[in-house]
Amino acid sequence: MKKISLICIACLCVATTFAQNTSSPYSIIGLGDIEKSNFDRTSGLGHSGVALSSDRYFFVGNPASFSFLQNPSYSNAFYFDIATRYKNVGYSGNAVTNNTASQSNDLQFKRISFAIKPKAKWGLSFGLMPFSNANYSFVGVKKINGDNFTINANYEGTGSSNLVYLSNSFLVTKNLSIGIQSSILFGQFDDKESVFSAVTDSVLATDRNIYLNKPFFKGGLIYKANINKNWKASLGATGSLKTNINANYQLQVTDGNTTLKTVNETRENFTAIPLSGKIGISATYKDKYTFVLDYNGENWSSLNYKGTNYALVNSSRIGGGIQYTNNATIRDNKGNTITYEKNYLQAGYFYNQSYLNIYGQPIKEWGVTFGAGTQLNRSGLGILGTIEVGSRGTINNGLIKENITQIGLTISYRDFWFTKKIKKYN
Amino acid sequence: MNKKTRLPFFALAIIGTIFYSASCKKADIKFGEEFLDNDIAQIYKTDSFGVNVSTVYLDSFITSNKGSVLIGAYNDDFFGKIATQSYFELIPPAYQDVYANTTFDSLCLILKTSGIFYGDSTIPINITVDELKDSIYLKDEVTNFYNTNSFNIKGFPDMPLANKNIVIRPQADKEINIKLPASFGNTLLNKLKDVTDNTLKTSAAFLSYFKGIRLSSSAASQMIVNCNDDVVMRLYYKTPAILEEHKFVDFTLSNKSHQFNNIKVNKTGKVLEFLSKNNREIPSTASANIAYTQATSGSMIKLSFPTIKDIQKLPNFAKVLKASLVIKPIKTSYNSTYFLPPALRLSTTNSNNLVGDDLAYIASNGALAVQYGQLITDYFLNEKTQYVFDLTEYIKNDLRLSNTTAGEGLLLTPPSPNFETQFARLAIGNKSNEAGKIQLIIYYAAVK
Repeated sequence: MKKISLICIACLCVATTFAQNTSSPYSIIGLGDIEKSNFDRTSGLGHSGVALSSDRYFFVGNPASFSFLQNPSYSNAFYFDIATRYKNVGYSGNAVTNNTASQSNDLQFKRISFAIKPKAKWGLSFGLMPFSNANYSFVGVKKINGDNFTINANYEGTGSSNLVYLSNSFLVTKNLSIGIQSSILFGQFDDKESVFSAVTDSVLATDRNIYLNKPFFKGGLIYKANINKNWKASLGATGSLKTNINANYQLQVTDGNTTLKTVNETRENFTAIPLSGKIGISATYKDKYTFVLDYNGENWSSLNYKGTNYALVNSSRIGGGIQYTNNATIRDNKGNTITYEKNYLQAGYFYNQSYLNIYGQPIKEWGVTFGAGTQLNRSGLGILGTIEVGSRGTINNGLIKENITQIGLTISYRDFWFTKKIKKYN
Repeated sequence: MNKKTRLPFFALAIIGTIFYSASCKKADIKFGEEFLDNDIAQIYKTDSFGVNVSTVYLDSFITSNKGSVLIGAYNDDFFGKIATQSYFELIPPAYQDVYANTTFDSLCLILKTSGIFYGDSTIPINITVDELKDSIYLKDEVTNFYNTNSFNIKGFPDMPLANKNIVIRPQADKEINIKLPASFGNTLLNKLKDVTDNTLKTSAAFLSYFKGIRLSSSAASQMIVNCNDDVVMRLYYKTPAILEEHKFVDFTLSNKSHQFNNIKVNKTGKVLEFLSKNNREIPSTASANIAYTQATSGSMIKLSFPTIKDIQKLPNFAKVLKASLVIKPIKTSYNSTYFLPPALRLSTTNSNNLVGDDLAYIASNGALAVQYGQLITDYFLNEKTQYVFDLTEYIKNDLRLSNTTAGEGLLLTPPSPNFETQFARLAIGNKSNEAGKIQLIIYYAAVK
């Protein structure tokens, strides 16, 4: 019971802190900042590794990976993962009005996952992970129609969309696993605009609340092959179809104490997640060196989502990384030699052409990542620390460049429940 | 679960609690241009709603007890010949038996200028002082004197008490001295000397003897001067002594409610010639797209907004945020001699064209204060001269009413007492007049 209580506390912490996000003015558009990281071992590899799987660790990006988790014959394995991230963003560009306040930072839980192996060839994982977030607060410029001048407006927004997922993974053959992630995409976005100027005697305020709730499915596969004695390779891919999302749309526009408009309705196909796909390969040399390369594409242009000076465009991301593994060998109580991954070091790079295009400027992002992890000796605990340094955006056309530093910590725990009795012979 | 395996869960719980309390910090950012998905509430500016501009006839107005004694006349290009007359009573000094053996020196009417004038101050102004034949009195059920009231003066064979042409520098000359006949002064002094003569012992007795004064001006005058209502008639006399002693005694204007100004206007041949009791309103379209205000000569500009309710038919219209009325006087209608009214007010009115409540604003101290138009003058190029009024609340109130009442509008006039005592004029154009176009600028919110 204590174990369950503690897990519940941890879940509560995660759920509550999901609402706090790093401020980014670009997150006002679309569904906000689409989360590129899975907060697992791919985070240190340039967020690449759709072809990766493990008998010990989560790779939540590919639902086919869970069937490779270990399930000893004498026990029921239980896997638990929790990830947190500190993010610091420094802003540059003409839009930054106060150089002493050109940074934002926050610290949040990002993901909590559980996995079990009901059958030897069936892996099952469930949990909560972020899909996107929006958090911005800035002074913008609002045009007065019919006139040549503009007035200032305050923009504030908070919100996030998250996935409660259940992934089923099946080992079709010894080398091929397929999986499907069935999720509920849910979220809430609150966008506020406040206009106060000589033109308005009181505050003209627009408050829009969007509540999203929609099933979302993603398929995946992993194929492994031993090339030769030293080299192992695997191919992974995931994909999801375009998913239209309805919204409970709440709007209130007020001028001072006067309510100008109130809307509370369900809007069909309010937004959508486009057709998306990711493909990647990995290669491992002597179980020590692992190389990964991923390509990710999302067809946002098909949504035809655009405003006066911006549009959502197809996004694509390429990333890769290398991992060095330090294996340790121990003898079990029967005298057998067991080799396990004691610790590992990672480095990676990614380049992302995001789904934002503002003033004809594609909002690009790049970053280098580093990771280091260890499995504590003889305990079920594994710890991964990652650092990411990169930037997003541009200072052209009055836009903002974000210099991003992220530090991640992922704690993985494995335990064996309901240990099966081993038949002893008299 | 043994102690070792419990440890990670405790660690997670502690970390979770710490992270739960972590706050996020935001940066100060101002985007230079709009790229935002913020078109739900939009602000629009429009000046396409018409303002009906006309000149309406002002019957009469109270001129008594306004603190101004008007002297002069001038020819106005728009309003014609304007001539003023000022009527007032004087009362004698408190009686004292101190005049025995005194000798008359002189008698003067002393007028104190207020610094306000209108017209050409380089041309001598004619001032004629007449003694009233009739007493100044109010008719039954009338409590004030109006610009149309007048009383008879002593005519032929009696001559005016004085008739003088003088150059007045209204802002430099503090007093205007008009010498009155010595015969009249001698008569007054003799009455003071004669202890048996009761004429100057009480105000009533004196007013029965000397009913009052009318100041007027001949047609040659080209300026109207405002004097204060502390007029005195000063009797200078000498007392016999080794060293002659010069003294004076004042007859003062005491009953200010019996001091009033008569204003006569002859509009013959002028653009407003046919503005009268029988033709109470001339649309600007019938007067060269111009309307006029000079309340003292009986003209007021009336504004109305006949199509303003149509703003509610605009797409997604939600609310009027701000409405400003920008009034640009006709460029050729003013200069430093014929200057603009320094303050104007907009007053509600109806089909009777009576002046109603003045439009107000909430001042910085939270109290309501009348709007006076914040005149900006540009006497060099005449381009930037304008009055601006905030019509936000007026327009909002108008939109709240389901029906429009015919004749309702706003009168554009100077505030009192300038309304009744000053001649600064205003000529404005309607929307078709490029020389002084009136503009109703409305900012409104539209919500999709």
